[in-house]
Amino acid sequence: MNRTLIAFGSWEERFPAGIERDLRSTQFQSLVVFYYNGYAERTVAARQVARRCCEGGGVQFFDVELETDSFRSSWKRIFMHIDQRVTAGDEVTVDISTMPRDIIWSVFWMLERKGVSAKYVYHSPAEYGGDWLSRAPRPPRMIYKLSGEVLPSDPTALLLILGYDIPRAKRLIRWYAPKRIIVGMQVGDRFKRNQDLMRRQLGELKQDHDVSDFRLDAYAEDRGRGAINEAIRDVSEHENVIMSSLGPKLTSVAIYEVQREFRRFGLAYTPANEFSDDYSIGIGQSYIGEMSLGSR
Amino acid sequence: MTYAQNPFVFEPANSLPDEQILAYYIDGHNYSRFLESARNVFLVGERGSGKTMALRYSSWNVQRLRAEQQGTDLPLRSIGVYVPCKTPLTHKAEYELLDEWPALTISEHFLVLSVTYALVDTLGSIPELHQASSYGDIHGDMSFIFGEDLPTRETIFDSIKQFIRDEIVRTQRSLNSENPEAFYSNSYMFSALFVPLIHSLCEHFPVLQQSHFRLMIDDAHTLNTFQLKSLNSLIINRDYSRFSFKMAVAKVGQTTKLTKTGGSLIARHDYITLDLESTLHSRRTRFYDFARALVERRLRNVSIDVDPVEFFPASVLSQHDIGAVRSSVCREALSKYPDAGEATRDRQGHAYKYTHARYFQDGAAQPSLPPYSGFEMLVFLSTGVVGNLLEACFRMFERAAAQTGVSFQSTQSALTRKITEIPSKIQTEEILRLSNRKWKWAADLIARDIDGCGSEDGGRVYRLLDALAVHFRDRATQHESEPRALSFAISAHHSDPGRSGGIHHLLEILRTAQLLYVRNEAGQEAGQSESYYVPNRILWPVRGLDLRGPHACVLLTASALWEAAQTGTIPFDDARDERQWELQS
Repeated sequence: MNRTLIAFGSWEERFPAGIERDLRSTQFQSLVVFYYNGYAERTVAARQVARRCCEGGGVQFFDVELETDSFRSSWKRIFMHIDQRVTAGDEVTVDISTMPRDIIWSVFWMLERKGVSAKYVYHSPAEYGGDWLSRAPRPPRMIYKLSGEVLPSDPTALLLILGYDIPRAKRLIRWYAPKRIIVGMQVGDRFKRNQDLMRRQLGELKQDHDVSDFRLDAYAEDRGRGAINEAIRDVSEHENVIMSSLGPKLTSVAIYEVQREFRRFGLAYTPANEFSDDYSIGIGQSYIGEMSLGSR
Repeated sequence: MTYAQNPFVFEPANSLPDEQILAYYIDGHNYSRFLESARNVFLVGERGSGKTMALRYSSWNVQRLRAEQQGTDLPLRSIGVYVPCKTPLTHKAEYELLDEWPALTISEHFLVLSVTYALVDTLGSIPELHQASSYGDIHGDMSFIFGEDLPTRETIFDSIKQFIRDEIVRTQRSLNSENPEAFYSNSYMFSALFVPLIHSLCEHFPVLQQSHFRLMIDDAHTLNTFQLKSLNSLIINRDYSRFSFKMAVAKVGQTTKLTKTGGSLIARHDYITLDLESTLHSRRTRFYDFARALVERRLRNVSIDVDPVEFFPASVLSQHDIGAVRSSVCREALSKYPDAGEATRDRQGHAYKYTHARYFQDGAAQPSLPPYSGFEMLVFLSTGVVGNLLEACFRMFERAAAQTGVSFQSTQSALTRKITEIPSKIQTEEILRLSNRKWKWAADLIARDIDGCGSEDGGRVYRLLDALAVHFRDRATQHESEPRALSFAISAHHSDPGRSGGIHHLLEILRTAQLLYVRNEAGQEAGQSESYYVPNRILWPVRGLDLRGPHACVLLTASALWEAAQTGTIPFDDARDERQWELQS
């Protein structure tokens, strides 16, 4: 049985710091770092730190370049790597801290396909950075293999976990033109002025759309899954359901689990074109868990 | 109690109920005869240009409602089938994981099922078809065409719809399976399913034997390339006997005209294109007539029986000032063209061309902006896009309603009794507010809202617009021969391919943001069609520019525009050497 750690290269301080933490806590045989070619220069120093951590501890290091502008190419690259190097029974941990959500969901699906029940780890930052975190949203896209079962004749409901980047949320809404929107928001004021921001964003969305909202706690043991399940109880079987998470990263775990339970629900993601150099500061608490899957 | 409504509500047409489509649509102006014909038609226009409205109005449900209201026969000889493409099924992308042939097959499969579903759904709503045929016979024939035993339901249409729903789900389950290149082998094609099905249905139902089906494919630009190729392969056959396509596509970006076998559609031969954005906006144009009829209809819908020209009066002050300027320009024309007879037209032309220019040149010296009011001004402000016209009217009506003190929570009659016109002061203020808001959005938010626009590009497009505003303003106050320019064309594309590529990227961003429209006009050489760019005219009021009447189109080099995007200034040399020509209004 191999122990593999999969992470995503970033310039954020918590990326190499998180790898160090991961390697200290578990005796991994290999570390796979996926990274986007569009950010190769910005992430190279941090990836070298990760490489050195592996060399010091006798851990095999794989640096796998993905194409920022081609989800198809990236997906195939990840698929090939996991298909070749992971076998059923392996113990795989996915460090989702700096991993884009479309990649998180794809990796989870590929591991599930291989019969691997993945663990995940999330290292929160000590603090988020400057005035903005991400901006310039790209066109949304459905995630391969997790796009659900939809019918062209049915209305669409969008379940959206809100984050700090409201234009990305609006982009999703314009793209999928949902009849109604179910908005999930993080409780508490863990970072910044979370409650103020969430309230303001919800107000903006309610001006133009049929919106219902609910609260969840991504840092609870179930990563907010219970709250999401409650929120989707009134979804009709004659509605297409698209889910997306732009809020706390840990909700991407809950959203994935819900999709695997209700396979007719689709997952969608809106990547951003630009990320702040000061996206986050330092490394904070770590959250570890194991996927809990079951289909309907 | 029914609450009062703003008559200029401009919700997307696909969210409006059939009754409202019927109430809002202006028949006879929106190219209706082309949509009612058996030809293949591409309706081209940006968001808000009325594509969806036109398709939905031509669809069976709305036409049936219209026939019922007018007490005429149901339009069974020509049945419009509305097919929305902006659905989550269109956005699914698993086909990208497949090689070309299976990707094409799966893409066509989803499309043919969607179009067939829309067809059958439409037919199912025609009461005459429910008793007209033996269910057993047709069920057998349909099962044969589908190659599967269809489920038994109350009507054949319900059976087919249920089968299609199940089939779409089965396909998605297969594509989402563990195999990365999963395919669905039981795929349908237009030629093997849709075409025989439509012929068979027409044979089974006597009332359909003379019917032609107009397939209204809305938002066709959201289809993937394979799906467009499949549709093009049907269009190229030009067999108009049973069905034709009316495809609504956005102007930004090009939808492929290739077919599955590598052929290509030929304009005017295989299809005709209708541009729903209008180039001409003055009083004697079709767009002006259309806009007037539209606003009149909207007002009448809420029992305001007033001519739009009276409802949106022009400022008395500006009319008076313009009158004074016109007298002066007429005197100028008289001295320039002193001979009687043939000179009359020259005098009239001179007066038409320079009256507004002089008015704005004089006004430019004054600290306040000129009044922007009057129905004709609103039509020019729309830049030929219906959505822009409605938005301005909507804001003005909201403001006027607020000033009456009667809320939208009251009855319609209570509100409309109070509003008999939108005062010119409100018109000016709302136009300037909209204009300001557009600039603010261009400055602060365009990079956040528009695909492919990073913050650098966001800065560039703002500087480019700003430079154009300054350039047009300078011309308005200083230029002798063609002072009024609000459009531009690009020259010297090839002298600097890098800059030319850069500027075209910025222009695409501006077009996507609907801050810029592209228009075509017959070129100076016979047979040529030249493209030129018209910035959204809502940008200009806050910059004090004149919107009415004929305008010049200036020719600027790609390099000059690129420079403007970097520096916010159109280089002096390019401005001095520019050429221009006058556009009709």
